[in-house]
Amino acid sequence: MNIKVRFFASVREIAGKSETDLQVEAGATVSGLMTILQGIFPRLSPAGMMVAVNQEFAAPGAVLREGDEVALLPPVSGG
Amino acid sequence: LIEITREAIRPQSVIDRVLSDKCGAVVTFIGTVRNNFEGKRVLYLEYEAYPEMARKKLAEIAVEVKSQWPVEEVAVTHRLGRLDIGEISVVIAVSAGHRVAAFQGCQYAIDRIKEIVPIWKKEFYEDGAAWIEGPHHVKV
Repeated sequence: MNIKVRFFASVREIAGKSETDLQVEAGATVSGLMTILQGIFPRLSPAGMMVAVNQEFAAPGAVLREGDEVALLPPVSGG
Repeated sequence: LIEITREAIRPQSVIDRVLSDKCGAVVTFIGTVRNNFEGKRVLYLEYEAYPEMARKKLAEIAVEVKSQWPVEEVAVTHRLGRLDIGEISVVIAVSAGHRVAAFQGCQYAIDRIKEIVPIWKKEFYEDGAAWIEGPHHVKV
């Protein structure tokens, strides 16, 4: 199935792009996707990173669905 | 009541969005760009957001404030893009019948923004730049 991944801030600079489309197996979880992404982008560090699925924070075990938008969010620093 | 903008923020415009005849108090928080970090001179900042989610989380924070204190309205405007020293990065305005709820609700709102709203700042120095991630600085 197709997943859109968006990168922000330091993660965007590490990835060298702001988004990418990935093919993952049905039933893939957030943590499974993170493993795939670390294979593609070895400098990606999951420490402290939050993940959002369709603009809502998601746990590592959350199961992804076709067409989901996943975002990798470093610790925030707005305000 | 929630706004993310690349234009300079006028605090009065945020205050105007929460004013009401029922209210006896409006508390505002104005975040501004500081010229130093740990003794280093900061030249300017850049703010980046996941805008769709940032708007959603800011709206959720407003709901949280209203559920915890007797406040009338909560408005937030956050700026993105390049900001020079002294410019305004965020304005929060909370109106309430009485001051205590407005003060407490406003403090809660800025504390929550720093926890859950996907907005990041990058500091630019004379000798480089760093993304600020929560309490940490990440050299680039």
